[in-house]
Amino acid sequence: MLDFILKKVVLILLPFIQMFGIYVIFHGHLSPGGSFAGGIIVAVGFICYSLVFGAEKGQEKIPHKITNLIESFGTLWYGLMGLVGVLRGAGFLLNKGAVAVGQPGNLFSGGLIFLITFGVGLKVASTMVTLFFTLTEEE
Amino acid sequence: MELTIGAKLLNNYPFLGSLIIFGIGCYTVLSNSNLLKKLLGINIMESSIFLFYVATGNIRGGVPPIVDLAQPEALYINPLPTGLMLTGIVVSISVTGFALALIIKLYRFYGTMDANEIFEIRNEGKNNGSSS
Amino acid sequence: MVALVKENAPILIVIASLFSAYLLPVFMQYRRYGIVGFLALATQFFVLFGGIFLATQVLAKGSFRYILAGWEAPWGLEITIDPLSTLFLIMIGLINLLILVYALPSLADELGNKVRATWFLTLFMLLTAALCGMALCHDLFNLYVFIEVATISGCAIVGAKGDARSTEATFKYLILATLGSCFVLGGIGFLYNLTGNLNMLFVNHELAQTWSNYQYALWVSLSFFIVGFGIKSAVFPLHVWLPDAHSSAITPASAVLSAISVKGYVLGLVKVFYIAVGPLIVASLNISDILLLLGMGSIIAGSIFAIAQTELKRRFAFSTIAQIGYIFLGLGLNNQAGLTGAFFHIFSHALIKTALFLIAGFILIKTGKSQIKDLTGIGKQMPLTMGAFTVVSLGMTGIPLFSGFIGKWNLLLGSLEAGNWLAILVLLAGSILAAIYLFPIIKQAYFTTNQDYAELKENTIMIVPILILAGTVLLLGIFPRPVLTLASQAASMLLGQ
Repeated sequence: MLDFILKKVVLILLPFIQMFGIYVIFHGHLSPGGSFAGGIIVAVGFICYSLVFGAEKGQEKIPHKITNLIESFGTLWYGLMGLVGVLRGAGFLLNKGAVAVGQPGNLFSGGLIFLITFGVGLKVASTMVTLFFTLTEEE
Repeated sequence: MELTIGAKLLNNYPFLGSLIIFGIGCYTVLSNSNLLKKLLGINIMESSIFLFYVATGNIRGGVPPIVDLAQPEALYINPLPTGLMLTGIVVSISVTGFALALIIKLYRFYGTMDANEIFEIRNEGKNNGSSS
Repeated sequence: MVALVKENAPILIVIASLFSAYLLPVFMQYRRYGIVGFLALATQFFVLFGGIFLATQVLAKGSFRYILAGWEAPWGLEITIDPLSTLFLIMIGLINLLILVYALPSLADELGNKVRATWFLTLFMLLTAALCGMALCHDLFNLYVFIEVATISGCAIVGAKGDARSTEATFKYLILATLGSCFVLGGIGFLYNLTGNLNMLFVNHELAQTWSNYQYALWVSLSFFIVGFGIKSAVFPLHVWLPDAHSSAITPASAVLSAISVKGYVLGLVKVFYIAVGPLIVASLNISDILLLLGMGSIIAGSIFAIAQTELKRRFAFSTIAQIGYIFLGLGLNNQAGLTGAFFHIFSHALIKTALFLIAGFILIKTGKSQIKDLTGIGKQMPLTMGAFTVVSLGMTGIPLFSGFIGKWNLLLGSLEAGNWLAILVLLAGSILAAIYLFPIIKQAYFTTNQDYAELKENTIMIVPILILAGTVLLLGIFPRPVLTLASQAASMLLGQ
């Protein structure tokens, strides 16, 4: 009976948790939070699912191969965004001369900051999920 | 000096509290023999440093540093130390995760989480070389 | 394209190491292990040649700054390219390259399987990136971030083997190193509270005007830095993690940690004390005397503990503590010759210690012996190895014609200039003690005979880095001019602040 309530509640809550996490990531340059806090919230969603439904179903949803690739992809994305500035002839991670400078309050201004927070948020989420699976596997 | 030392200390109570908590954390790391308690001492020390930095950026009577387009001339507190401490929190979580994985491995090897008992088990099984 | 690389070379060195650290797991996923080794070697080549290129620019034109993200200081981050950072970059590139050439053939066998070898190389690249960043940075908080990356990846490298002894050593190292990081962060917090800036030059300007009003706060801040950096660079009272960590790790890990990683934290101390705070304030608050005392204590205590060890790698680990004492002695002398000697000793000791650890690992792989009393007659079995060991030991004790002599000669000149007779006595005693703990190994190897004389082949590729290192020790002793110019220019730049 308790199992049944937990499973139904998690299935209802999970989309809202993920949506809130993505909201915090995307509004990183406008309101408190940013890439790290938003990534943790997204990871908490996955961890709740894995706690209630068991480790095997959790690992089925997010297999180890995909988290490996996402972690590498996050840092490479950051570096590539920085190199955009280099390739346009200006300095590293340049926002001023190469990409746009932002206006306050506007979501899609701010040039590279938005893209970088997205990459870092994804990487933080996958790292937290990997840490959880590593610490709770029993041999 | 207009104020005495005691009045100055009470005026800067966040920094005083931060240093007292730093001392408590340092003592916890160095004097407990349980490995988990050492890790908790490290967390206490890092929390005290976060408090120190955030109190550095605070201005009494200021508003949170989010630009309000209705009132662009308000007194914003300094957002830089808070941003620095986000990095500090990430470092603290990484160190905690790593140390927890190491404690699990040590428990599987030695069967105990006490540093003194691990030392005795190691010394019984070691009959060459000298430790200093 | 080449012009772009040359213009942005400083940041590309750190970015190349980071990229390769995160590309290696992708290649491991698709099982292309040949590319893994090639990418690791190519990154170290890039670091070495980038360092040499930047060194030629610095020697021709003087130090310059590279501004990240287009915003000028103090709103933006800066990277400084001056003689000190290029000396470090050359050292990191050269030693990492030689360690990788030694380690790559046997890494999969030592660690178990190729997957674990790839994770080890990832950590190695991260450590390289963090140390290059520490050498280049010019901002207090940037320094802290790179210190943390170097600490965590250094701890993980120690624990790569996975047996009980190295896991315990890793835990001890992690807890003590994080304790040190908290102290460093507290010190940076005090400096930020006093001056409101994080860029080192701006902190220097602010402190030079108002430091006499805040003497107690500066005193607390500098003591926090000494404890924090002292734990991580293993000076005498705070060295307790180093023997276990460096003797229970696998050979490439202990070589890179002992030769370069502890020096990175000494470089952090130099940057904070000489660029951010300034040599005048450091001298008048008597901090230089504390550095002198710590250095002298490390030399005597490290050497005496080293004589008492019977395992080869543990003896070399304690010898690291003694040699770090030499560097702290040079920093505490606070004059041109002392600082020059300290920086030259950083470079020459890195070469010597890497050679010693690689020789110990090679002997362990070929004969399985790790205790000194078992090494009888090994001079006939492995002539090239023990020849290199003799050259490197003569370098460590400071005999003229080898590179150790130049560093110790400059330290002696600095002590004479400062009029410190105790430092001269300790320097000479340190050389004698180094001879006491190194020459018995040579005696065991050459002058005792072993009944079961088994012919050992030494013609693998693993002997090449050992011979190159021994040759460089000899070459630096005879032609020290390039490195000595960089070191003395670094010293005059720091003292002129």
